[in-house]
Amino acid sequence: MAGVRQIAITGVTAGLCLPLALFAIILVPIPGLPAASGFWIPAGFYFVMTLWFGVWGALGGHIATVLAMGYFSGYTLQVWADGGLGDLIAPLVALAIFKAMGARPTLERKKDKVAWIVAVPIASLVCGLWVHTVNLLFGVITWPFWWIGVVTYLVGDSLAVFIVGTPLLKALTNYVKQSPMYIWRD
Amino acid sequence: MEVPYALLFVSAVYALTLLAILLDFLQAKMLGDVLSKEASARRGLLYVYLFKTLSEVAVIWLIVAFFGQIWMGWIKF
Repeated sequence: MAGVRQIAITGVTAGLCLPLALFAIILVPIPGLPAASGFWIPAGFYFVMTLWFGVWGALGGHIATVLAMGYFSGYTLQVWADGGLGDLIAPLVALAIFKAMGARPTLERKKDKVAWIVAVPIASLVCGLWVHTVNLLFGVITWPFWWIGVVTYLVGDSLAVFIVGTPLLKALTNYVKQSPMYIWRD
Repeated sequence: MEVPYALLFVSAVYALTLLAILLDFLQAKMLGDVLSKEASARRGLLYVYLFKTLSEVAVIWLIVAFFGQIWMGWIKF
């Protein structure tokens, strides 16, 4: 059920990620792939927010991606929905892996660190596979670009999440644990 | 080499912004125990601190990206 806190989490995540998503598309574009970026810096933020607050953080990333694409003219609704859904799915995949492994975002135990190292590339790969396969099926891209897209999403998203997300999780999770919105209870 | 006035002004603003953020990080580190104690008593403080820190990290990235674009020749003065 969405209350004020949940809406605030989603709103702040979206507000933070929106300029980062916009400039990620502008600064590190991948030629031939619509709305793609080789270094998806907002993922570092919405992955962290999702690991702390669940689906509300992921929803913020989704909204930011969809709004950021609004800046660019010529994208079809399919491209918008495809990219936006990819960024909703990715952090939720990471969250599911954490749940499955019984890990926590504090990254204190070995199990937590392993989950983080495993979950980020898998989530980025799932996002890349989703976005570029849908684009391929809709005829937006061709096979050679599918490969480029999947590999750059895997590398670019993972790098961004590791560089931004790791220090954020390590520095802030112990504070966030005090929030009633924090989804992990030991 | 003469530095354009606009670049000089923007660089000064960004340098001070970075300094303020770094000092804020330092302050938060020094007040870690106090913040933790207060955050458990006042829930709003926890979210303010959290969202502020995330925003500061985002600002650092945008400043790095700004100078990166100058370096790449995408922003010219």
